[in-house]
Amino acid sequence: MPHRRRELLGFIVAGAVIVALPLATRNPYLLNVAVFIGLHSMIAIGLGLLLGFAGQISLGHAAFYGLGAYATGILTVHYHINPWLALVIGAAVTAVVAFLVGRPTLRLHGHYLAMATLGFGIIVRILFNEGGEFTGGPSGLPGIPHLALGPLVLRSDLHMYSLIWPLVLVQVVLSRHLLRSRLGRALRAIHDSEIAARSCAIDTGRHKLMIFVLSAIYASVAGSLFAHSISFVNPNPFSFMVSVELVVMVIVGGAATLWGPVIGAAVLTIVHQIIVQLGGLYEPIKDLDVVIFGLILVLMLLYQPQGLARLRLPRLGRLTGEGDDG
Amino acid sequence: MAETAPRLAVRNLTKAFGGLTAVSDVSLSVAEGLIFGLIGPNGAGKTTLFNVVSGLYRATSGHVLLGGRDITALPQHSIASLGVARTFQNLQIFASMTVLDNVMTGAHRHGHCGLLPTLLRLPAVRVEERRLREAALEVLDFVGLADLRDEPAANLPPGKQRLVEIARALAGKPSLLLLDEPAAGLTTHETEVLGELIGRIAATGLTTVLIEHDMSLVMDVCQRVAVLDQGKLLTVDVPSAVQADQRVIAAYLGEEEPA
Repeated sequence: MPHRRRELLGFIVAGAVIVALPLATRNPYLLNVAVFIGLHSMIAIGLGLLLGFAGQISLGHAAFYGLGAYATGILTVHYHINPWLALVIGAAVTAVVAFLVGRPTLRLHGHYLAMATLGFGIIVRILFNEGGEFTGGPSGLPGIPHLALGPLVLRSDLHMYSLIWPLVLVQVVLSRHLLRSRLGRALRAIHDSEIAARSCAIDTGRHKLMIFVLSAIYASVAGSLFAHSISFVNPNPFSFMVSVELVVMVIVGGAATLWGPVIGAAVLTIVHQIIVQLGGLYEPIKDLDVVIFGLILVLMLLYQPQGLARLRLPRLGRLTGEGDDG
Repeated sequence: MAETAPRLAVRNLTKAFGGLTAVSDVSLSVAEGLIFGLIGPNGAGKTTLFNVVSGLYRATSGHVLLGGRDITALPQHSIASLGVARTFQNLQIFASMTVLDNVMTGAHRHGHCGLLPTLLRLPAVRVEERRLREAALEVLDFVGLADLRDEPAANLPPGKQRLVEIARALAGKPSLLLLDEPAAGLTTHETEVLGELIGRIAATGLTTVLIEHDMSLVMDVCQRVAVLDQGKLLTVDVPSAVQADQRVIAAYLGEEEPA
């Protein structure tokens, strides 16, 4: 089946790039950027399922990212819990929170989830800021231990890179499993026609909620890895703007595709870094990031609404070999 | 011995939208295994009745019973999971999916695997997937779409898309099938094929309610026909009696029709 071959090719190319990058360079800055692309990919993959298949927008995923980061931070710093266990507890707590946020809104029609998550994200950020000693307030919570695999302490960017990118690959495999299943068809059905989906006995609200919770868990795990990677959290990386950037990543890469969110995470993280670097040379450029992201979003929606992953290159077929049915 | 409950019974059903009463105090029952026609002029409330029965609309008053069980208050997906399948007057195929995936989605109620087993693609998921696929292929064979199974459903002509919707409805192995104007927009030949298909569906013993404007189709395949006019039930009878009924003719031609 050519579709399967294309899909396999996508995995081979991705695997090769992941292995090749640290062999090609040990530049700490590049590895650090690669780690962040990986973390953003982890979140964007979940958001992609939510947006591309369940047809729902979340404007609060930075908050779930933050919940994961703060949960592991607080559990390890204040309660000296094993970081891996803290990561799991953080994911569980985030899942419960996402369930409570999503349940009342996803049974309604329309974009109530976007509104609810928008408000939720702002509230969570206020809690991070006003948490006093518990969260470290605006100045943050230092001293978060690194993760360890037996005697190996994962302190360098290369370590985190080697942990995060295989996880991203695993997530893509899980997405593929999901989309080629009864539940995946149900999600796509919801996206195509909710009325017809319900007439096929699909509980649309329940399925949307399920994917929303899954996407929140992905974000939480990414947040925990982030916190253990840099040993420190403060409220800044979890702002509303970050939530918006995550959605932009998904749309730019292609929501309803396997690799789109990863591609979008890479493109926007790199663009963001370029802006930061140029801002170092000439200060006012820094403030342009919102404008540039907005511009990218508008251009994508105008010229490539299905995302970069669906870009047709002459004679090469699609960039990443996604099939029509994603 | 008590009589067995009819497959579908509608009791004093009313559906009003604000001041407009689309369905007004309608009672009818559809016995097990019948092909039951539902006709009436445009705006008579036929589709509204379907929408209430299938749970898309909530009844203003009255009851819907499926095999004796009251389903009036159930949400749409629960009614579907009890075995009520339907098609839509305005096609509602899953445009991003292949024909096969459309039909497999129709079999949703016969699967049970949850999110975690699905993500991990545990053996139970593979077994379920194979079972749903085989069931869908069987239905595609039955409606004559087997060679188009890998086509994107959106690429099919409207006539074939109707068949995809019917196949999707059948894939759930329903106990009640609601067909909403399946012949709308079909060519004469396609309508003949459809009539033959409905005949074969009838032969399987599946209770079917058919909304249709194509009178020859209705008269050919239905054993009972109900006539709605302005939301009210005019009559229920065998096709030949309905055809001869002066009130039905008047309803179709307008009240001022000179006798």
